Amino acid sequence: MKRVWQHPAEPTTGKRYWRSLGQLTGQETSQKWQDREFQDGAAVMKDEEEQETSRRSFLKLMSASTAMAGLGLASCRRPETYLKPYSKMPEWVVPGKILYYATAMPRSGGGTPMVVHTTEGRPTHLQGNKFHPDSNGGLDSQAQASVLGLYDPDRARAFSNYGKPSSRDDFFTFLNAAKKELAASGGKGFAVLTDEVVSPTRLRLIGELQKKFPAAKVYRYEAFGPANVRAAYTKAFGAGVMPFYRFDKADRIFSLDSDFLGLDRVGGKSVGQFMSGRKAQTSADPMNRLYAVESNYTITGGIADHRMRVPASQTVKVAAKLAALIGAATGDAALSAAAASVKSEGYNPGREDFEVWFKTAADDLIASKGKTIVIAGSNQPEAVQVLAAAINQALGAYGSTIELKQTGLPESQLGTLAELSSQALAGNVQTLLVISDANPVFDAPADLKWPAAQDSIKTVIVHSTRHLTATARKASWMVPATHYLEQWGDTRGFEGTYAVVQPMILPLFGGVSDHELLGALVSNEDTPPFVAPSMAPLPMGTVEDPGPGYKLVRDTFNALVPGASEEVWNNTLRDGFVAKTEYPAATTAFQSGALSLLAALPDAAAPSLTAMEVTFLPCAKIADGRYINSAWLQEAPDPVSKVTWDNAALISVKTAKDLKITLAAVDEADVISVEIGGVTRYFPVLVIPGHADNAVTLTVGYGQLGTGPEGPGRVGQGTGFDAYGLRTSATPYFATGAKVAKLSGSVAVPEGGSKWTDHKEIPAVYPIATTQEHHSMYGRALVREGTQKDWQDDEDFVMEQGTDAHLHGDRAEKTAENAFSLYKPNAGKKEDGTREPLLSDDLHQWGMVIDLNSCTGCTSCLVACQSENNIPVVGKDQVRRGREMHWIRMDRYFATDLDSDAALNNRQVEGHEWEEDEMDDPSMLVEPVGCQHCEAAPCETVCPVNATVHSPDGLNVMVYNRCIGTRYCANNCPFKARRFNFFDYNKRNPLVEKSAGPLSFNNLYAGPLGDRHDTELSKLQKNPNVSVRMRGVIEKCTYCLQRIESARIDARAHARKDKSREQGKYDETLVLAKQDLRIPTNGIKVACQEACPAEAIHFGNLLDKDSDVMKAKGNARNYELLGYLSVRARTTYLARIKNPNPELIKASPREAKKVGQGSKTRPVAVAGSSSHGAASH
Amino acid sequence: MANTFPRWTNTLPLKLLVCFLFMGAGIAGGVTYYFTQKYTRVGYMPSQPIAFSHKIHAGQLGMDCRYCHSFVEQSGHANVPASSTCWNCHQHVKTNSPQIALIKESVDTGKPLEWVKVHNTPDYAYFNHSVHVTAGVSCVSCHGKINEMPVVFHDQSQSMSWCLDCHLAPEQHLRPMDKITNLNWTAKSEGKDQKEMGQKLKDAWHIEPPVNCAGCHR
Repeated sequence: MKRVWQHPAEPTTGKRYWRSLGQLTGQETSQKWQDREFQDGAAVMKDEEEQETSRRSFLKLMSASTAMAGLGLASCRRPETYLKPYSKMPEWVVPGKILYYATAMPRSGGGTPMVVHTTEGRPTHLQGNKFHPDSNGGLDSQAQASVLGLYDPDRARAFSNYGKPSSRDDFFTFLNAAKKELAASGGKGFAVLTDEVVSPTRLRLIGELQKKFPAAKVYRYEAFGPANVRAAYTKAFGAGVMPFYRFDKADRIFSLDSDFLGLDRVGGKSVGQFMSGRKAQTSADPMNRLYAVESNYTITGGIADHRMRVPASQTVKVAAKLAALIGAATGDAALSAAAASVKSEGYNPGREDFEVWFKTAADDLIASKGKTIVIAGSNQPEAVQVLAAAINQALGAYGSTIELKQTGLPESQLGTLAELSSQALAGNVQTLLVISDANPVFDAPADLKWPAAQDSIKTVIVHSTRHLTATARKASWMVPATHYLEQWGDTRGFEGTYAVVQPMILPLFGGVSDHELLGALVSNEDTPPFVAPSMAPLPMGTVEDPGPGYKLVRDTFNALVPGASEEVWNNTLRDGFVAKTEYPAATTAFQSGALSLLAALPDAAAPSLTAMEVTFLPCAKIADGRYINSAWLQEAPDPVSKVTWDNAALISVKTAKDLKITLAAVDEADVISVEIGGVTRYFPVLVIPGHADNAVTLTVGYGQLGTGPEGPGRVGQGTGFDAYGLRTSATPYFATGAKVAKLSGSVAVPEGGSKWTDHKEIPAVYPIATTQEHHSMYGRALVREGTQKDWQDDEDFVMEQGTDAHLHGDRAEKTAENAFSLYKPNAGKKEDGTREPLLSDDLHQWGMVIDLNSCTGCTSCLVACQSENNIPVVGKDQVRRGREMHWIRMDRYFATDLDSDAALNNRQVEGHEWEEDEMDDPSMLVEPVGCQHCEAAPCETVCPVNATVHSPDGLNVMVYNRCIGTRYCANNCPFKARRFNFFDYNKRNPLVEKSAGPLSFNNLYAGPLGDRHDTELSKLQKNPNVSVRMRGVIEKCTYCLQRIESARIDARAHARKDKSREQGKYDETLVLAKQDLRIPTNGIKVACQEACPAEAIHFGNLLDKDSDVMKAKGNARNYELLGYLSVRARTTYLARIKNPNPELIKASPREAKKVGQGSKTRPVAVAGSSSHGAASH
Repeated sequence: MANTFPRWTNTLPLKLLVCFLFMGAGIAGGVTYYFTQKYTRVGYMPSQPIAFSHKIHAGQLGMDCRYCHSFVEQSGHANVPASSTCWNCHQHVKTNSPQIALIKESVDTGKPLEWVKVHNTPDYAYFNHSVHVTAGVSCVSCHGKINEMPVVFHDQSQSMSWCLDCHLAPEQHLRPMDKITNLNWTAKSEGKDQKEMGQKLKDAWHIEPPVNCAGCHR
């Protein structure tokens, strides 16, 4: 008898959580994704007759293929393989064991300290270095993916001279001659352009360079950076002073358009510090409170307890409002006067509770005086920065929650790109050395005319790790830089702690490090000809020459730590940093004179439909465009818009309606034209509820020109649309007065000189790959939330939400007795009523807890998982078919309170006419979902070949060799956590388009005739402890089985070996307790847990009461996804807790509505089911 | 009277014969292919670049296995020794042998020797030496009497069922931990019964070999 599972009805009251506008408004396109996990190819048989014929043809095919298989048998014999041992055993290397090295990734703003996993000399995986004062051990996705950059086949690999291949010797011959000429003229006409990377050795060498060539000038440029913050703090506190926020000490935080949990990197561990104030072990634990004012929906806005959408250009007005309120309350006359000088008369961003919102927020800040932070986004102009600084000053934040430190080089010593451009155009620059991964030809503001300026310079030398960028293509010399994992170097962490960059591997493609290049330039000697590094071991007693880069770093280190012995240096290499080398505290006081610039501000008109506002943001995936050739980052969905492989313009629901744009775009997005000052660019557009009205957010970096090696590389070519063309130096972060219109037909792109895109024509509708609707699990309160008050009122409030509300009894009963079961209700029940553990290992039972209160949705776990578990990239075309392979799916939900009227009047949700305002002011929640490792796993019961089974320690394991690809398991997985290898993604390159005659198709569809990956190179990154899966098998989260197994083996091997040697007994007289074989408490960290900067993921042994995971499971916020199915998932979640301001809830009905919980409906009778809504027969 | 057997049965013997012929051919082909040494690899004895004799080194000279396979107790891989390990002794011993010249060349140039792999674990199976040798499983259980092999050959089938045979009944192979690399040692040589001793060791050391998939496949 066929069982039909009747799910309890979805609740009709309370807060409603929706994945997309399509789902909210019941669009067919979204319904399609909800109904079918696998879209194409998975044939559904229409009727009995078709079933019969299909079965027959299936048998025919099977017999034919068996016969064919027989023919192929001869090739099954195993080939001869070889073992190649080292010729000389390197110290510390144990074949088969991972070696960990501390190093740091030099980045703009501050280096990221990390620990590199190397296997037999290959860096394969990165994690943060938690011992470094600027890291809590987490690592963001861009740093995580940099290991793939090392093996990028399109990296800068060769020297070239005016586009012609050259050699290292030729370049240094040229450089030796050039530096003699320059020395003779004192460096006249010589300029150096660097990026924001903070490297003491680089600064030292630049200093030497300026000494050697006194007339030379150094310039600094990054497309995005803290320039505005730096300028404002220079005015307010003095040159080089920068703020460092201590979010862990703050009770109230107010963000003025700052995405400090996401793209706005303000500190090495600010996410962790902020989240430490939201861990909420009990309902009585104090929590911090975040107010956010922002234009685009960011992950910071998602975490915020109160959020208001305000266009970026109007932020100064609301900042002034806040300043006025705080100035009045604290009696700070300077602040009040400054606030009054901002022209913001009568501004309202379209909220009826605007006044009261700010009044209560300001009161709240004042009440917590000394424990507050007001932070302005680095994209906000100086005016907002100084206002925020003045508010912080008035609230006594400096010295308590914000530390001021004297950083790096004073601004005055470094020129800007604008200055360099005008110097070059005036003919004052003859030689330019660009040491930077920035790409000014592509990303410099249009009005600087950088391409022309660069053309006017006689000799341009570009040193970069990147493929041939637009800048490098125009250069006289292209010098390939070494990847940071291949070189000696150094950097300072965010707050200045000195970190050494040490090489993990010899340069794969040769290359020169920035230090070596500058060192050669300042050296008085000629650079000797290049000798390829030899693999031959040196005679005994000699020390290997570590190269010039080592010496340069060592000199800096010796100056930094005077009299350091070899041991101190070795310890520094072990730890990766030198303690107590952070920037010194600044001693200057706030100068209120800085506020005078506010009066000069013109009144920025609020954006309107005819003069819209455009915001330029660095991309969460590819930053300012520098990571465009990173396949992992390209495929990692944007945290909010969920776009992969492209960028999109983001707008609000209201603006979309005004522009007649399809709200619920899934695979096809409308294209808009954006025109500012006569320049027009085109973008596919996605509607993000909660975006500011009449404003467009554009992410930059995409749309880089060129194909193959002559462009952004094979991964990045043809992806996305250029936004830099719209950007000028006057409007680097946002522009106003833009004309935006929906395209009614396709637009032809002119060929030739003015060409700015690879697209031959811009279609009116653009195919876009968003993962938002994929693997959708319907509603059913998968994400749960409540306020701190809800929790205090009802300790088990999470168990009263969604479908769990249908169950009777308290938490214990709900989770055990009364829960529905896929099996017989009493399975595994013991005499005393408790349940027998279904699994047998009495030392280890693994489990995971994900704290939704800490998770921002930043996708760093997703990329870490990809790096650790050899997860392939599938390409845009496959993502569009819902075939992305990520084991962690990062769900994003918007939530709106369903109008209580609707329920009362029996209005159906589906038919509900949503008002724009309801849709446009939602809260946002994120939830990472991977395999839940159900104890009673539904996938296991349906596998015809036992390819997915349970291990005694509670893992749902996948046996790839047994899997025949029926996908029954995926079909039966209630969490949609299983991924199928539709193609041999690891072998065949999914990023190549093939054509045969008139046909054009993806490489994957060319089968055995398709192109392979650059296998040798991509193989180097693979984790040798994880099988590389091939076509036709299912895969999914394994709880990092390889890490568990290696820990288990180590625990056993060590216990037996060590005890026997200790006791001197080698037989059965050895005293060994079973507990000795247990993996130490918290002895394993899984890759996602390790990467999480918010420490939201807990993993460990459920049989160990002291483990983190058991502490987390003991939290009252703990709940199971779809707990009513009684699958006993090992991964559970901690509900999100909001800490709204009770005063604001009282005063504003709108805010009151936003903080509601999920529905708390009582049992509803479902047609055809028993009163519990249980299975019907 | 109607026919007892329908008409189609007339050709049945012929059909059966043809069928049996095909089946017989299939079985014969399968057996010759799958059950021979070349497939199971038992007896596989490739010639190595250097005629290194375990019989001389481990047998006659009595060197411990772990002198060369030094990480066998720490790592999953039992490493093949680096050329420099050979060179430790052979810079003094038999320096004129043309075989040693190959080692000398490797030590000088850094070019590795290319040993032909005898025991090959498939990519999807993760065997770990350290956990076996520290649990009382001797080298001899899986590799045979290496100390008597002038040229190493594949002694055991090392198929999955062979692995499981031991994982289900480990007492048949456990021995005191100080006898792991003594390949000539047997329980009988000390007058003990292997099964009885093995059972005691299994209980005392909590030997519970995994028999679930995740034990070896990840």
